[in-house]
Amino acid sequence: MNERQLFEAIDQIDDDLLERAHDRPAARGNAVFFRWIVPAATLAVAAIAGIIVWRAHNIPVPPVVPQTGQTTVPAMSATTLRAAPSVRGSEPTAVTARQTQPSAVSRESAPNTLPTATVTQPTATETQPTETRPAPSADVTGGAPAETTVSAPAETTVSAPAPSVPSSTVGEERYILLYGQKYYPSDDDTVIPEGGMGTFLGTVQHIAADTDAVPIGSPQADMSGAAVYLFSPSLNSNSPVVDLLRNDKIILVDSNHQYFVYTRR
Amino acid sequence: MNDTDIIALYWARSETAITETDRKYGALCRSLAARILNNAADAEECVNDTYLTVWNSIPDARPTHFKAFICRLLKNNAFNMLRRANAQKRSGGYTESLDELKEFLSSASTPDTEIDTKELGRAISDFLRTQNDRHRNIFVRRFWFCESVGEIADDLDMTEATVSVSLYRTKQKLKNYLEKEGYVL
Repeated sequence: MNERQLFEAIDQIDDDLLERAHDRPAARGNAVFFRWIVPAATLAVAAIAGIIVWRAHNIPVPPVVPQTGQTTVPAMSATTLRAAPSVRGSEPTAVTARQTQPSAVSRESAPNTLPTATVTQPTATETQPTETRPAPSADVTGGAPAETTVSAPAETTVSAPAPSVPSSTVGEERYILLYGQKYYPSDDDTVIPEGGMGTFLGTVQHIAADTDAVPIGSPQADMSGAAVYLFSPSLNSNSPVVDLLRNDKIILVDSNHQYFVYTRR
Repeated sequence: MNDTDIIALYWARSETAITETDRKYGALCRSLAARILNNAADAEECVNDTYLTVWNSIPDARPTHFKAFICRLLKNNAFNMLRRANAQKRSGGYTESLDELKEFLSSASTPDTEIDTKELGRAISDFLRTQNDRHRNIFVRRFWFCESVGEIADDLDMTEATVSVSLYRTKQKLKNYLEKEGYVL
């Protein structure tokens, strides 16, 4: 075969191939037509992401938030709460913590002022004058563990700035100051309802980092990690301040899972 | 105006048929003739001769592919003119295409071998149908319409290198295909 024969053979190719010889390949046309979409889409996504980030940094985050069941004290689980001793000994249906001990105490005055607290037994009205604070778990386990129905807070996903909790000691009167409201140790029974502790406000160490209002509860326990709850399980305002003003109780849970109730006067 | 309407005009013996043919395929015919004859005046004459041939061929024929029909007639006329003038002096796109095909063939090929060009043309058509539109059209435009690589590249918004690579690959695949079919290249 020589080139002329091959050329003549090519000259014999079918008519439909000749008809379509000058057609534009559709795929290439489409590729050219849509070529601008990729960078345009990339720019659009980048712009949207930028706006979102910018807005996230400029919108003030309301302090707090997590509500019952959504909040979180990492160390608190249903198991540990159930095993936690009740200060009041055996309480069949609910855990109650009473503390007559004044709340936040400054570091200097703590050793002298702590011994005034009493723990009221469930069946007796008399107080134990020498008891300074609710005993740590080891001391109370002799009694029947409280049947707590409190469900542990879930994992926290919100890290909102916590309110500051300055403490004050005015003579023998000690209190926790939250949003301008004074909370004093409660001397009445407070039953923690089934469903949770309320709104988690933060740990004492966290919310009172710039104060010395740490030692609350038993002297053996490290209260710096105690969790502070706003006792408002039924309220669901997005503002913890509003919730706080609507309620008159807060609850502190120390590292031994003992509960201390403070009420507003 | 589409091809069917133009053919209808030829059948109606309307002179408008030639005008419409020239309007639609005049540029293609002139460029093809110029590539074969390498002379604008000869190309114009060839195109006019082709229109006359078409006028005389229709209505006896009713071509299904009018573009292929007119281009085949034009190539025949152009080659006839070329032979009449001087076959040794031919040059241009046609010669380039021919030389490129010569490189494609091996030195072992025998020029005296009897080849049924129609049968070979059918085999080439079958092969081209297996190729995608882009590669097939580039091949047909290069070796049937005798367009240069630069013209094809410009028209398809491609680089000459891309067109050359496409042609090279298609020729290699065609060679393998024809050898499998029993042709000695």
